[in-house]
Amino acid sequence: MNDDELKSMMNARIEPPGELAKRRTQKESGDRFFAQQKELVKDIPRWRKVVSVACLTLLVGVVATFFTAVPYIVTQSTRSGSGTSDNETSLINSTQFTQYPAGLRTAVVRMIISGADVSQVEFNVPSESGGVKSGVLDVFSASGGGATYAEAPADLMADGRPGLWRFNAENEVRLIGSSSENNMAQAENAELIAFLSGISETVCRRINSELGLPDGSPNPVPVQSGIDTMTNMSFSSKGMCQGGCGGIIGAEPEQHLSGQPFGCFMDSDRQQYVYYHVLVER
Amino acid sequence: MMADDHELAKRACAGDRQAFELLVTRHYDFMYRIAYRWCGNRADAEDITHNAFLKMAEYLRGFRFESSFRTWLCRLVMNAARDHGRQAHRRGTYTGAIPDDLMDSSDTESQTYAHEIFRLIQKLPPEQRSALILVFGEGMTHKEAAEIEECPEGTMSWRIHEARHNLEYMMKTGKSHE
Repeated sequence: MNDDELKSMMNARIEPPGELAKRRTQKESGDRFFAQQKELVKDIPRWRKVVSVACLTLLVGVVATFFTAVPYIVTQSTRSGSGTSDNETSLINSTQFTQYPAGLRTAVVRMIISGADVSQVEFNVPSESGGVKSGVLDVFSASGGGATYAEAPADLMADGRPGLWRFNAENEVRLIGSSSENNMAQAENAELIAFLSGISETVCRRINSELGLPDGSPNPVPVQSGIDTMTNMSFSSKGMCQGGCGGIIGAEPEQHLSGQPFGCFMDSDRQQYVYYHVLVER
Repeated sequence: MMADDHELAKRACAGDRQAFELLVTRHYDFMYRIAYRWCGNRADAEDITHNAFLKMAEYLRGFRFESSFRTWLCRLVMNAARDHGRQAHRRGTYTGAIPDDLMDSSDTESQTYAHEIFRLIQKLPPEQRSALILVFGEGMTHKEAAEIEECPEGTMSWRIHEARHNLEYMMKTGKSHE
């Protein structure tokens, strides 16, 4: 069967459709088409109504959100006094690092109870001791104090780098243990103190604020000079007051830190804020 | 001057009933012819055509005037024919549609042959049947038929080839297509 044959068969004459069927189709399809058009026109007010209801709902939602959000915002802004987020972070951080020397104090007291003398205790910083361990006399040794050495969190420090703790018995805190009369610490009265130099001013002021120290009289932070905050009691350096010692924290003229076992001052010699924490009173 | 299909469609959409009826009148015979070739009898062909025009009424507002109006109508009637076939199968009334209204010349042999061809076409798969109706029935090119069937031109050519092959096979063996 070729194409022409197929075409011819396909095009064999077909009886035309009935006129009645044609008219019925014409009428019914026309009716449907125009009925649909009427429905569309009729729908317009309904759509307007739907849009109006949607707008009203949206408006009510916005108002409700506004009244819910305002008290929340007010509460957030007034919580913890004037409470900026910086201050709150400082509060958390200051609490965080005052706990560390408190833990060391426990370790040292345990060592003293075990028979160690304060003058023999060493705080060998692992990165500096070069593997030298004094064993039972080392606060950071498992056979000694068993404490873990840690640097202070970088976000507490003014330079943004982790802070290095120093420990020595070169200084006194006035009215803690026995006190010397002048501004020079005496060997028998020097406290064993943990120092963290270089903390930020915000953190420093927050600590003192928690201690109830007046802020801004005469300086925002008590200024101290002659305090030895850098010597560290280790295998290489005794760090014990013997003759020429450091200073007295809380001595005149700024006595705010008198009797305070921990607090913060401005080291005027190095122009740094220093946190101190007494580990052993003498 | 006679308005073209697109213009009539636009006028109908604007609410001109006369324009809509003119569209129906203008294309009814063409739609009926395709439907008839698909199903092979007048009653079903009228039903298919009727349904196709109802679809036209339903979708005319969505017509995008990008393709030819006739091509669009052709697609509607093909779809209506397929739907009709499926419904008939579901109802169990599908007869295989032996043509009853072929009014060929007085040549009885030729008439019998045409009957036979129509009968065999009913047995082809739907896509091959559509291809034959459009190309050999309506004289469309493969490209035009492909546009209606929404397939590539190559696919349409392949369907024609397969349809012819199956028709010849059925004529020789009397069996259904491969």
